[in-house]
Amino acid sequence: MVAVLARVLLVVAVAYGAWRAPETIRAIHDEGTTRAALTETDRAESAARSVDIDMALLREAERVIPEDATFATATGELVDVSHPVTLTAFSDYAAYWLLPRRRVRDPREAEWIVSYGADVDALGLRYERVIEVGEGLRLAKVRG
Amino acid sequence: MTTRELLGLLVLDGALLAAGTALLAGLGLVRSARDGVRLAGLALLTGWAAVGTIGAVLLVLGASFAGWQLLAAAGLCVAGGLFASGRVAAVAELRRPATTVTHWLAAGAIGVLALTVVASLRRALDATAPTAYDAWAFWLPKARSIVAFDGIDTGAGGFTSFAHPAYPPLAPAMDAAAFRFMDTLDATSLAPQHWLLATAFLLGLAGLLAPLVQPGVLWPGVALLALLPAFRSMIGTSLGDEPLYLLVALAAVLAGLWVRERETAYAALAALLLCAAALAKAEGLFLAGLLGLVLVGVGLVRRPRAWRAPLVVVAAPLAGSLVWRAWLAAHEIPGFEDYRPSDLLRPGYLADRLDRLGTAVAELPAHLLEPDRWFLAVPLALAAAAVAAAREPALGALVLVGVPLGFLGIATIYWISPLPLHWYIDTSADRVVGSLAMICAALLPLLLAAALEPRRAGGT
Repeated sequence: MVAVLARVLLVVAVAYGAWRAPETIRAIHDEGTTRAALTETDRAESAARSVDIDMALLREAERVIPEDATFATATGELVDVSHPVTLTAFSDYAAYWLLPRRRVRDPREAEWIVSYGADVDALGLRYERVIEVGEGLRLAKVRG
Repeated sequence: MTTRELLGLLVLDGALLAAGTALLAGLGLVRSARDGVRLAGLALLTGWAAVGTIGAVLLVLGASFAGWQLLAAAGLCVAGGLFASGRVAAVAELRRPATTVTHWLAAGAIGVLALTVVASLRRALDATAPTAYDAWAFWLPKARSIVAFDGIDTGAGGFTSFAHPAYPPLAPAMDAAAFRFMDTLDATSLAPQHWLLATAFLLGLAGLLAPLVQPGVLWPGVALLALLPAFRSMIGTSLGDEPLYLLVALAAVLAGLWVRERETAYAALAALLLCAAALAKAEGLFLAGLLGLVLVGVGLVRRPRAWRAPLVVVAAPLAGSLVWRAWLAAHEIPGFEDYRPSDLLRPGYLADRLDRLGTAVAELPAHLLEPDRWFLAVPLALAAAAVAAAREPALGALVLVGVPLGFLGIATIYWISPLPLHWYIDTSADRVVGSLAMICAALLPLLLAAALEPRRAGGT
């Protein structure tokens, strides 16, 4: 009786697996095909795009901010966002993307401000230069 | 993936494979070239777990996590394994069961498995950077920071500056190892390494069970596991759950083998994998403790009693976890903030939020039993365990006691957590119950094999 029940379970497992296998393998294959069509940039920026972060700011920050510098992020309403977590996700994403540059929490301790929609003048800091990357997107070098 | 990156991974994985093979030899599981080939997948994961555990300790001790340190860690495993192999007897050969299920089933399943693995490789070679929020919010930044700042940096922008600083370091450490050997911080290059570890897990599972489970049962079980949507979607995410799934599932199978065959080697290897699991994610310690305690119970009930080996299964992950917690305390890093086990000792606190337990118990089964994530893995394993228990009660108990206890443990986490309940369940339940589902899927072939075989003399 035990062996009979075990065989029944094996048949159920095999039948279910056989039923689901074609769609599953096809899904993996389709995902691979989709990915093969992506550019290097698409692949690298996929996470940012998933929360609708405009990568122009971080790409410019990567180019301009020295690797041994510190930066702070600031977000605000000066940029249009279409995803509910864009602004809350930006700081974490910037900290990830811009490594080895070190993110500090307090703008007063930062050498650079990476602003995604914030009014940098309202931070109470003085700047050597401000780079306008796009509407509401700014990089600001804090006066040392 | 560039040629440089590929060569780097070959060096790293070669070292991990050597370390793991030597450790398996030291345990008596590999004593011939044939064993080595059969258990190559298990060896790679064993090496990954062992070097990862040593690597986590090195980080705690302030090491820079340079490539030579990782190679030295692998060398230590090779030396230790070879030393032990001269003194530890080989594990008794497992009885090959009579084949009662058609070979055509095995052939078909191997074909499905091969297609799945190849399709997954193609997907991995063109992978995007991990898109899960937690991956880029803290798991990957921690990995990158280990490389960028040569170890665990507690300053601004360092390892502990990211969310959940108290999470253990093994998962980001081993991504850092891959970064180090590939000489890149590009997260898109990690996917092939994750594919390799997942494939090693599947083949390791098959190799481990092949002498004991007839092919017509084994290969459909492994193929089914490979097809599980939640398993496939987890691979390559760089979340801490990813290594946890592999380590805990393999450890559960090793626990099942210890229950059946009473060979200390299986318990010892389970202890190593669970130590790594406890250092990979906080829930790893809970799952390790769960498996260990079920084994202690089995060991105390059976005749003759065998409680030493299960105690090692409990002690090893605890020791690993304590090393990390000691480091957190020494550096005054706040503890794990999602829940505090000490709250279980506050009856008033528990009573005030009893409704959370009820909600968790009511909602979690849907995540565990969702067919579009886990097919029928959990109900099949529970049913197989119930049937197998008629012939091998201890093996059946591993699932029939372990899985419900694990479920209650997870529900308890949601009960005591201060986080908003529905948000916490929505954002974590799928992943957290996944380890239980993986245990069920991985044990299914062994359970069916136990049920199909005639009762053994002196069975468990």
